[in-house]
Amino acid sequence: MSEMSSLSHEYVSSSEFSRSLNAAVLLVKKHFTRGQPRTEDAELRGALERLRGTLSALIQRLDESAEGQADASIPEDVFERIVEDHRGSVPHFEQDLRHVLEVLERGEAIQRSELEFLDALCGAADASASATFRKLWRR
Amino acid sequence: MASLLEELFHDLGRRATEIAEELRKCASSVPSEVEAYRAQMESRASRASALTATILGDPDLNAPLFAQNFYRDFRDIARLVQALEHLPLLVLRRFDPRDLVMTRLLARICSETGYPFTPPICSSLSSQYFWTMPDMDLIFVPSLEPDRLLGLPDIYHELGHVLLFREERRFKIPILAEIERHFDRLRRDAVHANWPPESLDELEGYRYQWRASWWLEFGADLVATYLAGPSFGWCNIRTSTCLGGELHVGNESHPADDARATAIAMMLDKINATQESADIRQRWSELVQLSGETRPHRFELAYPEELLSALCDCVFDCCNQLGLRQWAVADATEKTIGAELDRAWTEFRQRPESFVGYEQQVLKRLV
Repeated sequence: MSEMSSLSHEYVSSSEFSRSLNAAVLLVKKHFTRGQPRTEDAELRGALERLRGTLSALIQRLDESAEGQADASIPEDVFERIVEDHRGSVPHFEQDLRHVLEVLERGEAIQRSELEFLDALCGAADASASATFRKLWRR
Repeated sequence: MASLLEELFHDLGRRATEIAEELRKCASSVPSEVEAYRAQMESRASRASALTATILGDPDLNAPLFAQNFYRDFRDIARLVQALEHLPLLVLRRFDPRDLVMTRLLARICSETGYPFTPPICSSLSSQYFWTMPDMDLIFVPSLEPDRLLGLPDIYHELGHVLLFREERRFKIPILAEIERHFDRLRRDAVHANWPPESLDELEGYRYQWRASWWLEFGADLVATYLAGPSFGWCNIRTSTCLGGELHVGNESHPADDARATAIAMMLDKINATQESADIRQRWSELVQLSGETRPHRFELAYPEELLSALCDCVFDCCNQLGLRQWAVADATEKTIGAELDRAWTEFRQRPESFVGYEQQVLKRLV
Protein backbone atom coordinates (compact mmCIF):
# COMPACT_ATOMS: atom_id res chain seq x y z
CA MET A 1 0.00 0.00 0.00
CA SER A 2 2.95 2.32 0.50
CA GLU A 3 5.02 3.25 -2.52
CA MET A 4 7.72 0.88 -1.23
CA SER A 5 5.92 -2.16 -2.67
CA SER A 6 5.81 -0.90 -6.24
CA LEU A 7 9.30 0.59 -5.94
CA SER A 8 10.71 -2.72 -4.74
CA HIS A 9 8.97 -4.57 -7.58
CA GLU A 10 10.34 -2.06 -10.11
CA TYR A 11 13.79 -2.38 -8.55
CA VAL A 12 13.84 -6.17 -8.80
CA SER A 13 12.67 -6.06 -12.45
CA SER A 14 15.36 -3.51 -13.42
CA SER A 15 18.00 -5.30 -11.44
CA GLU A 16 17.28 -8.72 -13.00
CA PHE A 17 17.25 -7.16 -16.47
CA SER A 18 20.53 -5.34 -15.80
CA ARG A 19 22.26 -8.40 -14.34
CA SER A 20 21.29 -10.63 -17.23
CA LEU A 21 22.26 -8.07 -19.90
CA ASN A 22 25.61 -7.35 -18.26
CA ALA A 23 26.41 -11.07 -17.96
CA ALA A 24 25.61 -11.57 -21.67
CA VAL A 25 27.76 -8.62 -22.75
CA LEU A 26 30.69 -9.70 -20.55
CA LEU A 27 30.60 -13.20 -21.99
CA VAL A 28 30.41 -11.93 -25.58
CA LYS A 29 33.27 -9.51 -24.93
CA LYS A 30 35.47 -12.25 -23.49
CA HIS A 31 34.85 -14.53 -26.45
CA PHE A 32 35.34 -11.96 -29.14
CA THR A 33 38.44 -10.36 -27.70
CA ARG A 34 40.01 -13.82 -27.66
CA GLY A 35 38.88 -14.55 -31.20
CA GLN A 36 37.12 -17.76 -30.15
CA PRO A 37 34.58 -19.33 -32.51
CA ARG A 38 31.08 -18.21 -31.57
CA THR A 39 28.92 -21.22 -32.23
CA GLU A 40 30.63 -23.91 -30.15
CA ASP A 41 29.68 -22.65 -26.75
CA ALA A 42 26.11 -23.13 -25.49
CA GLU A 43 26.55 -20.39 -22.90
CA LEU A 44 27.68 -17.98 -25.61
CA ARG A 45 24.76 -18.94 -27.84
CA GLY A 46 22.46 -18.15 -24.93
CA ALA A 47 24.13 -14.79 -24.38
CA LEU A 48 23.84 -13.87 -28.06
CA GLU A 49 20.19 -14.88 -28.04
CA ARG A 50 19.65 -12.69 -24.99
CA LEU A 51 21.24 -9.71 -26.74
CA ARG A 52 19.29 -10.27 -29.96
CA GLY A 53 16.05 -10.46 -27.97
CA THR A 54 16.79 -7.23 -26.11
CA LEU A 55 17.79 -5.32 -29.25
CA SER A 56 14.70 -6.52 -31.12
CA ALA A 57 12.43 -5.54 -28.22
CA LEU A 58 14.04 -2.10 -28.08
CA ILE A 59 13.60 -1.54 -31.83
CA GLN A 60 9.98 -2.58 -31.53
CA ARG A 61 9.34 -0.25 -28.57
CA LEU A 62 10.98 2.68 -30.37
CA ASP A 63 8.82 2.22 -33.44
CA GLU A 64 6.22 4.92 -32.82
CA SER A 65 4.09 3.80 -35.75
CA ALA A 66 3.54 0.38 -34.17
CA GLU A 67 0.49 0.13 -31.93
CA GLY A 68 -0.15 -2.33 -29.12
CA GLN A 69 3.33 -2.43 -27.56
CA ALA A 70 2.67 -5.18 -25.07
CA ASP A 71 6.35 -6.12 -24.72
CA ALA A 72 7.06 -6.81 -21.06
CA SER A 73 10.72 -7.71 -21.37
CA ILE A 74 12.21 -4.24 -20.92
CA PRO A 75 11.37 -2.56 -17.60
CA GLU A 76 9.71 0.82 -18.11
CA ASP A 77 12.26 2.84 -16.16
CA VAL A 78 15.11 1.25 -18.13
CA PHE A 79 13.37 2.01 -21.42
CA GLU A 80 12.69 5.61 -20.35
CA ARG A 81 16.32 6.09 -19.35
CA ILE A 82 17.55 4.74 -22.69
CA VAL A 83 15.18 7.07 -24.56
CA GLU A 84 16.27 9.99 -22.35
CA ASP A 85 19.95 9.19 -22.99
CA HIS A 86 19.27 9.50 -26.74
CA ARG A 87 16.81 12.37 -26.73
CA GLY A 88 17.36 14.35 -29.91
CA SER A 89 19.10 11.47 -31.66
CA VAL A 90 16.60 8.62 -31.47
CA PRO A 91 16.64 7.89 -35.24
CA HIS A 92 20.43 7.59 -35.15
CA PHE A 93 20.21 5.36 -32.07
CA GLU A 94 17.63 3.16 -33.81
CA GLN A 95 19.97 2.85 -36.76
CA ASP A 96 22.77 1.71 -34.43
CA LEU A 97 20.43 -0.80 -32.80
CA ARG A 98 19.51 -2.27 -36.17
CA HIS A 99 23.15 -2.42 -37.20
CA VAL A 100 24.28 -4.28 -34.06
CA LEU A 101 21.30 -6.62 -34.33
CA GLU A 102 22.24 -7.42 -37.94
CA VAL A 103 25.84 -8.15 -36.90
CA LEU A 104 24.58 -10.54 -34.21
CA GLU A 105 22.08 -12.19 -36.54
CA ARG A 106 24.56 -12.66 -39.39
CA GLY A 107 27.16 -14.12 -37.04
CA GLU A 108 29.78 -11.55 -38.02
CA ALA A 109 32.73 -10.68 -35.81
CA ILE A 110 31.78 -8.00 -33.31
CA GLN A 111 33.82 -4.82 -33.42
CA ARG A 112 34.86 -2.71 -30.47
CA SER A 113 32.39 0.06 -31.33
CA GLU A 114 29.54 -2.46 -31.25
CA LEU A 115 30.68 -3.76 -27.87
CA GLU A 116 30.77 -0.17 -26.61
CA PHE A 117 27.21 0.28 -27.86
CA LEU A 118 26.08 -2.82 -25.95
CA ASP A 119 28.00 -1.62 -22.89
CA ALA A 120 26.12 1.67 -22.99
CA LEU A 121 22.83 -0.24 -22.81
CA CYS A 122 24.15 -2.17 -19.80
CA GLY A 123 25.13 1.14 -18.24
CA ALA A 124 21.61 2.53 -18.64
CA ALA A 125 20.07 -0.62 -17.14
CA ASP A 126 22.46 -0.60 -14.19
CA ALA A 127 21.93 3.13 -13.58
CA SER A 128 18.20 2.60 -13.58
CA ALA A 129 18.35 -0.29 -11.09
CA SER A 130 20.72 1.70 -8.93
CA ALA A 131 18.52 4.82 -8.94
CA THR A 132 15.41 2.84 -7.95
CA PHE A 133 17.35 1.07 -5.21
CA ARG A 134 18.46 4.40 -3.80
CA LYS A 135 14.86 5.64 -3.80
CA LEU A 136 13.98 2.60 -1.69
CA TRP A 137 16.43 3.67 0.99
CA ARG A 138 15.60 7.38 0.71
CA ARG A 139 19.25 8.36 0.19
CA MET B 1 48.82 -2.98 -4.37
CA ALA B 2 45.26 -4.13 -5.01
CA SER B 3 43.16 -2.43 -7.67
CA LEU B 4 40.02 -0.50 -6.72
CA LEU B 5 37.83 -3.33 -8.02
CA GLU B 6 39.74 -5.87 -5.91
CA GLU B 7 39.31 -3.69 -2.81
CA LEU B 8 35.59 -3.33 -3.49
CA PHE B 9 35.05 -7.05 -3.99
CA HIS B 10 37.11 -7.99 -0.91
CA ASP B 11 35.04 -5.67 1.26
CA LEU B 12 31.81 -6.91 -0.31
CA GLY B 13 32.77 -10.56 0.19
CA ARG B 14 33.52 -9.93 3.85
CA ARG B 15 30.14 -8.23 4.36
CA ALA B 16 28.28 -11.05 2.62
CA THR B 17 30.08 -13.65 4.75
CA GLU B 18 29.27 -11.77 7.96
CA ILE B 19 25.59 -11.51 7.02
CA ALA B 20 25.48 -15.24 6.24
CA GLU B 21 27.07 -15.93 9.62
CA GLU B 22 24.60 -13.68 11.48
CA LEU B 23 21.70 -15.33 9.69
CA ARG B 24 23.11 -18.73 10.68
CA LYS B 25 23.18 -17.61 14.34
CA CYS B 26 19.48 -16.69 14.13
CA ALA B 27 18.70 -20.40 13.73
CA SER B 28 18.67 -20.82 17.51
CA SER B 29 16.21 -17.99 18.11
CA VAL B 30 13.63 -17.97 15.30
CA PRO B 31 10.39 -20.02 15.59
CA SER B 32 10.20 -23.25 13.62
CA GLU B 33 7.76 -21.71 11.08
CA VAL B 34 10.42 -19.22 10.08
CA GLU B 35 13.40 -21.59 9.94
CA ALA B 36 13.07 -22.49 6.25
CA TYR B 37 12.97 -18.79 5.39
CA ARG B 38 16.02 -18.09 7.56
CA ALA B 39 17.96 -20.90 5.87
CA GLN B 40 16.97 -19.59 2.44
CA MET B 41 18.25 -16.08 3.26
CA GLU B 42 21.45 -17.51 4.72
CA SER B 43 21.94 -19.41 1.49
CA ARG B 44 21.46 -16.22 -0.56
CA ALA B 45 24.09 -14.41 1.52
CA SER B 46 26.47 -17.37 1.16
CA ARG B 47 25.94 -17.42 -2.62
CA ALA B 48 26.72 -13.69 -2.76
CA SER B 49 29.92 -14.37 -0.85
CA ALA B 50 30.85 -17.28 -3.16
CA LEU B 51 30.12 -15.22 -6.27
CA THR B 52 32.36 -12.46 -4.98
CA ALA B 53 35.18 -14.95 -4.46
CA THR B 54 34.67 -16.32 -8.01
CA ILE B 55 34.91 -12.83 -9.51
CA LEU B 56 38.02 -12.05 -7.44
CA GLY B 57 39.58 -15.18 -8.96
CA ASP B 58 38.73 -14.15 -12.54
CA PRO B 59 41.98 -13.45 -14.43
CA ASP B 60 40.18 -10.74 -16.45
CA LEU B 61 39.12 -8.74 -13.39
CA ASN B 62 41.68 -6.01 -13.90
CA ALA B 63 41.57 -5.91 -17.70
CA PRO B 64 40.36 -2.41 -18.70
CA LEU B 65 37.97 -3.77 -21.35
CA PHE B 66 35.97 -5.68 -18.72
CA ALA B 67 36.29 -3.27 -15.78
CA GLN B 68 32.88 -1.63 -16.20
CA ASN B 69 31.12 -4.99 -16.46
CA PHE B 70 32.76 -6.21 -13.26
CA TYR B 71 31.92 -2.93 -11.58
CA ARG B 72 28.26 -3.44 -12.55
CA ASP B 73 28.46 -6.96 -11.09
CA PHE B 74 29.85 -5.43 -7.93
CA ARG B 75 27.00 -2.92 -7.69
CA ASP B 76 24.43 -5.63 -8.29
CA ILE B 77 25.83 -7.90 -5.54
CA ALA B 78 26.34 -4.90 -3.23
CA ARG B 79 22.66 -3.99 -3.53
CA LEU B 80 21.66 -7.58 -2.70
CA VAL B 81 23.99 -7.66 0.30
CA GLN B 82 22.63 -4.35 1.59
CA ALA B 83 19.05 -5.53 1.15
CA LEU B 84 19.81 -8.79 2.99
CA GLU B 85 21.27 -6.87 5.93
CA HIS B 86 18.57 -4.19 6.06
CA LEU B 87 15.58 -6.47 5.59
CA PRO B 88 15.69 -10.23 6.36
CA LEU B 89 18.54 -9.99 8.85
CA LEU B 90 16.89 -7.09 10.68
CA VAL B 91 13.55 -8.90 10.72
CA LEU B 92 14.94 -12.27 11.85
CA ARG B 93 17.17 -10.85 14.59
CA ARG B 94 14.19 -9.03 16.08
CA PHE B 95 11.46 -11.51 15.26
CA ASP B 96 8.92 -11.17 18.10
CA PRO B 97 5.56 -12.71 19.09
CA ARG B 98 3.59 -10.10 17.13
CA ASP B 99 5.58 -10.96 13.99
CA LEU B 100 4.79 -14.61 14.59
CA VAL B 101 1.08 -13.84 14.95
CA MET B 102 1.05 -11.98 11.63
CA THR B 103 3.15 -14.65 9.91
CA ARG B 104 0.72 -17.34 11.09
CA LEU B 105 -2.31 -15.32 9.99
CA LEU B 106 -0.69 -14.78 6.61
CA ALA B 107 0.06 -18.50 6.27
CA ARG B 108 -3.62 -19.23 6.98
CA ILE B 109 -4.73 -16.65 4.43
CA CYS B 110 -2.41 -18.24 1.86
CA SER B 111 -3.79 -21.68 2.60
CA GLU B 112 -7.44 -20.53 2.52
CA THR B 113 -7.06 -18.67 -0.77
CA GLY B 114 -5.02 -21.31 -2.62
CA TYR B 115 -1.99 -19.01 -2.88
CA PRO B 116 0.37 -21.13 -5.00
CA PHE B 117 3.72 -20.22 -3.42
CA THR B 118 5.40 -20.48 -0.03
CA PRO B 119 3.70 -17.93 2.26
CA PRO B 120 5.78 -14.82 2.91
CA ILE B 121 7.13 -13.83 6.33
CA CYS B 122 5.50 -10.89 8.06
CA SER B 123 7.20 -8.30 10.24
CA SER B 124 5.63 -5.49 12.27
CA LEU B 125 8.66 -3.19 11.95
CA SER B 126 7.22 -0.93 9.26
CA SER B 127 7.32 2.84 9.34
CA GLN B 128 5.80 2.96 5.83
CA TYR B 129 2.34 1.48 6.44
CA PHE B 130 1.95 -1.95 4.72
CA TRP B 131 4.63 -2.75 2.17
CA THR B 132 6.35 -5.70 0.50
CA MET B 133 9.77 -6.75 -0.73
CA PRO B 134 8.39 -9.29 -3.23
CA ASP B 135 11.60 -11.09 -4.21
CA MET B 136 12.43 -11.62 -0.53
CA ASP B 137 8.94 -12.82 0.45
CA LEU B 138 8.74 -10.19 3.16
CA ILE B 139 5.68 -8.18 4.11
CA PHE B 140 5.97 -5.30 6.55
CA VAL B 141 3.08 -3.95 8.62
CA PRO B 142 2.92 -1.13 11.20
CA SER B 143 3.76 -2.16 14.76
CA LEU B 144 0.23 -2.38 16.19
CA GLU B 145 -1.51 -3.94 13.17
CA PRO B 146 -1.23 -7.45 14.65
CA ASP B 147 -3.65 -6.19 17.35
CA ARG B 148 -6.26 -4.92 14.87
CA LEU B 149 -8.67 -6.37 12.35
CA LEU B 150 -9.87 -3.42 10.27
CA GLY B 151 -6.55 -2.86 8.47
CA LEU B 152 -5.86 -6.56 7.95
CA PRO B 153 -7.48 -6.73 4.48
CA ASP B 154 -4.54 -4.62 3.31
CA ILE B 155 -2.34 -7.67 3.77
CA TYR B 156 -4.22 -9.24 0.81
CA HIS B 157 -3.08 -6.25 -1.26
CA GLU B 158 0.54 -6.95 -0.30
CA LEU B 159 0.07 -10.62 -1.10
CA GLY B 160 -1.17 -9.35 -4.47
CA HIS B 161 2.14 -7.57 -4.97
CA VAL B 162 4.06 -10.80 -4.34
CA LEU B 163 1.78 -12.63 -6.75
CA LEU B 164 2.20 -9.97 -9.45
CA PHE B 165 5.96 -10.32 -9.05
CA ARG B 166 6.06 -14.13 -9.07
CA GLU B 167 3.60 -14.40 -11.97
CA GLU B 168 4.67 -11.19 -13.67
CA ARG B 169 4.41 -12.34 -17.27
CA ARG B 170 1.01 -13.95 -16.76
CA PHE B 171 -0.44 -10.69 -15.42
CA LYS B 172 1.67 -8.07 -17.17
CA ILE B 173 1.40 -9.12 -20.81
CA PRO B 174 -2.42 -9.00 -21.06
CA ILE B 175 -2.58 -5.90 -18.87
CA LEU B 176 0.00 -4.04 -21.00
CA ALA B 177 -1.91 -5.07 -24.12
CA GLU B 178 -5.08 -3.46 -22.68
CA ILE B 179 -3.20 -0.31 -21.61
CA GLU B 180 -1.72 0.05 -25.09
CA ARG B 181 -5.01 -0.64 -26.84
CA HIS B 182 -6.76 2.06 -24.82
CA PHE B 183 -4.07 4.70 -25.03
CA ASP B 184 -3.50 4.05 -28.75
CA ARG B 185 -7.19 4.67 -29.30
CA LEU B 186 -7.20 7.78 -27.11
CA ARG B 187 -4.18 9.11 -28.99
CA ARG B 188 -5.78 8.52 -32.38
CA ASP B 189 -8.89 10.36 -31.24
CA ALA B 190 -6.79 13.18 -29.78
CA VAL B 191 -4.74 13.60 -32.97
CA HIS B 192 -7.94 13.55 -34.99
CA ALA B 193 -9.35 16.27 -32.74
CA ASN B 194 -6.19 18.39 -33.22
CA TRP B 195 -5.10 18.37 -29.58
CA PRO B 196 -2.08 20.62 -28.91
CA PRO B 197 1.29 18.88 -28.39
CA GLU B 198 1.28 19.51 -24.62
CA SER B 199 -2.05 17.67 -24.27
CA LEU B 200 -0.68 14.75 -26.28
CA ASP B 201 2.35 14.74 -23.95
CA GLU B 202 -0.01 14.63 -20.97
CA LEU B 203 -1.74 11.62 -22.49
CA GLU B 204 1.59 9.88 -23.03
CA GLY B 205 2.54 10.71 -19.45
CA TYR B 206 -0.50 8.78 -18.23
CA ARG B 207 0.34 5.88 -20.51
CA TYR B 208 3.83 5.78 -18.98
CA GLN B 209 2.46 5.86 -15.39
CA TRP B 210 0.13 3.00 -16.20
CA ARG B 211 2.90 0.90 -17.74
CA ALA B 212 5.46 1.72 -15.07
CA SER B 213 3.63 1.44 -11.77
CA TRP B 214 -0.11 2.08 -11.77
CA TRP B 215 -0.86 -1.37 -13.19
CA LEU B 216 0.88 -2.82 -10.14
CA GLU B 217 -1.24 -0.90 -7.62
CA PHE B 218 -4.50 -1.51 -9.46
CA GLY B 219 -3.45 -5.14 -9.94
CA ALA B 220 -2.70 -5.66 -6.23
CA ASP B 221 -6.03 -4.00 -5.29
CA LEU B 222 -7.93 -6.25 -7.68
CA VAL B 223 -6.20 -9.42 -6.47
CA ALA B 224 -7.01 -8.36 -2.88
CA THR B 225 -10.68 -7.76 -3.75
CA TYR B 226 -10.88 -11.08 -5.61
CA LEU B 227 -9.53 -12.87 -2.51
CA ALA B 228 -10.95 -10.88 0.41
CA GLY B 229 -14.15 -9.47 -1.07
CA PRO B 230 -16.00 -6.49 0.45
CA SER B 231 -13.75 -6.18 3.52
CA PHE B 232 -11.01 -4.93 1.20
CA GLY B 233 -13.39 -2.31 -0.20
CA TRP B 234 -14.25 -1.07 3.30
CA CYS B 235 -10.63 -1.17 4.33
CA ASN B 236 -9.72 0.89 1.25
CA ILE B 237 -11.97 3.72 2.47
CA ARG B 238 -10.26 3.61 5.87
CA THR B 239 -6.78 3.55 4.32
CA SER B 240 -7.57 6.38 1.90
CA THR B 241 -8.69 8.58 4.79
CA CYS B 242 -5.88 7.66 7.19
CA LEU B 243 -2.91 8.01 4.86
CA GLY B 244 -3.67 11.58 3.79
CA GLY B 245 -3.46 12.94 0.27
CA GLU B 246 -6.19 14.05 -2.09
CA LEU B 247 -8.78 11.55 -3.27
CA HIS B 248 -8.54 12.43 -6.97
CA VAL B 249 -4.82 12.99 -7.29
CA GLY B 250 -2.40 10.19 -8.10
CA ASN B 251 1.37 10.26 -7.95
CA GLU B 252 4.36 8.56 -9.57
CA SER B 253 3.75 5.24 -7.83
CA HIS B 254 0.05 5.29 -6.93
CA PRO B 255 -3.05 6.07 -8.97
CA ALA B 256 -5.72 8.32 -7.42
CA ASP B 257 -7.71 6.78 -4.56
CA ASP B 258 -10.97 7.56 -6.34
CA ALA B 259 -9.95 5.53 -9.41
CA ARG B 260 -8.83 2.69 -7.14
CA ALA B 261 -12.21 2.71 -5.40
CA THR B 262 -13.90 2.46 -8.81
CA ALA B 263 -11.75 -0.52 -9.80
CA ILE B 264 -12.39 -2.28 -6.47
CA ALA B 265 -16.15 -1.85 -6.96
CA MET B 266 -15.85 -3.31 -10.46
CA MET B 267 -14.19 -6.44 -9.07
CA LEU B 268 -16.83 -6.73 -6.33
CA ASP B 269 -19.50 -6.68 -9.05
CA LYS B 270 -17.56 -9.29 -10.99
CA ILE B 271 -17.44 -11.67 -8.02
CA ASN B 272 -21.18 -11.13 -7.50
CA ALA B 273 -20.88 -9.03 -4.35
CA THR B 274 -23.14 -6.48 -6.00
CA GLN B 275 -25.02 -5.28 -2.92
CA GLU B 276 -21.77 -4.80 -1.01
CA SER B 277 -20.28 -3.06 -4.02
CA ALA B 278 -23.20 -0.61 -4.07
CA ASP B 279 -22.91 0.00 -0.30
CA ILE B 280 -19.18 0.67 -0.59
CA ARG B 281 -19.68 3.01 -3.56
CA GLN B 282 -22.31 4.88 -1.54
CA ARG B 283 -19.90 5.24 1.38
CA TRP B 284 -17.17 6.39 -0.97
CA SER B 285 -19.47 9.07 -2.38
CA GLU B 286 -20.10 10.24 1.19
CA LEU B 287 -16.35 10.49 1.71
CA VAL B 288 -15.88 12.49 -1.48
CA GLN B 289 -18.65 14.83 -0.42
CA LEU B 290 -17.19 15.13 3.08
CA SER B 291 -13.77 16.00 1.69
CA GLY B 292 -15.19 18.75 -0.53
CA GLU B 293 -12.88 17.56 -3.30
CA THR B 294 -13.96 17.28 -6.90
CA ARG B 295 -12.63 15.39 -9.90
CA PRO B 296 -9.98 17.49 -11.63
CA HIS B 297 -10.07 18.33 -15.32
CA ARG B 298 -9.18 15.28 -17.46
CA PHE B 299 -9.48 12.79 -14.60
CA GLU B 300 -11.20 10.43 -17.04
CA LEU B 301 -8.25 10.73 -19.39
CA ALA B 302 -5.88 9.43 -16.72
CA TYR B 303 -8.27 6.72 -15.53
CA PRO B 304 -10.58 5.62 -18.37
CA GLU B 305 -13.38 3.49 -16.93
CA GLU B 306 -13.19 1.19 -19.94
CA LEU B 307 -9.54 0.48 -19.14
CA LEU B 308 -10.31 -0.11 -15.45
CA SER B 309 -12.97 -2.59 -16.49
CA ALA B 310 -10.60 -4.38 -18.90
CA LEU B 311 -7.94 -4.51 -16.18
CA CYS B 312 -10.47 -6.03 -13.80
CA ASP B 313 -11.26 -8.74 -16.39
CA CYS B 314 -7.53 -9.50 -16.89
CA VAL B 315 -6.85 -9.86 -13.16
CA PHE B 316 -9.99 -11.96 -12.69
CA ASP B 317 -8.89 -14.33 -15.49
CA CYS B 318 -5.31 -14.61 -14.18
CA CYS B 319 -6.53 -15.34 -10.64
CA ASN B 320 -8.83 -18.04 -12.04
CA GLN B 321 -5.97 -19.55 -14.07
CA LEU B 322 -3.86 -19.73 -10.91
CA GLY B 323 -6.63 -21.56 -9.07
CA LEU B 324 -6.97 -18.83 -6.45
CA ARG B 325 -10.13 -19.07 -4.38
CA GLN B 326 -12.50 -16.27 -5.18
CA TRP B 327 -14.30 -14.66 -2.24
CA ALA B 328 -18.01 -15.45 -2.23
CA VAL B 329 -20.88 -14.08 -0.19
CA ALA B 330 -21.45 -17.61 1.16
CA ASP B 331 -17.95 -17.48 2.65
CA ALA B 332 -19.19 -15.05 5.28
CA THR B 333 -20.51 -17.98 7.29
CA GLU B 334 -17.21 -19.84 7.24
CA LYS B 335 -14.43 -19.71 9.80
CA THR B 336 -11.80 -18.44 7.41
CA ILE B 337 -9.86 -15.26 8.07
CA GLY B 338 -11.54 -13.70 5.05
CA ALA B 339 -14.95 -14.43 6.59
CA GLU B 340 -13.83 -13.11 10.00
CA LEU B 341 -12.72 -9.86 8.36
CA ASP B 342 -16.01 -9.57 6.53
CA ARG B 343 -17.92 -10.04 9.80
CA ALA B 344 -15.58 -7.64 11.58
CA TRP B 345 -16.32 -4.89 9.10
CA THR B 346 -20.06 -5.56 9.35
CA GLU B 347 -19.83 -5.41 13.15
CA PHE B 348 -17.77 -2.23 13.07
CA ARG B 349 -20.22 -0.48 10.77
CA GLN B 350 -23.18 -1.50 12.95
CA ARG B 351 -21.64 -0.97 16.39
CA PRO B 352 -18.41 1.07 16.10
CA GLU B 353 -18.59 2.10 19.78
CA SER B 354 -18.27 -1.47 21.08
CA PHE B 355 -16.09 -2.84 18.31
CA VAL B 356 -12.88 -3.02 20.38
CA GLY B 357 -14.30 -5.78 22.61
CA TYR B 358 -15.52 -7.73 19.58
CA GLU B 359 -12.15 -7.33 17.88
CA GLN B 360 -10.24 -8.65 20.91
CA GLN B 361 -12.45 -11.74 21.08
CA VAL B 362 -11.97 -12.49 17.39
CA LEU B 363 -8.22 -11.95 17.57
CA LYS B 364 -7.98 -14.31 20.54
CA ARG B 365 -9.81 -16.94 18.52
CA LEU B 366 -7.73 -16.39 15.40
CA VAL B 367 -4.31 -16.57 17.01
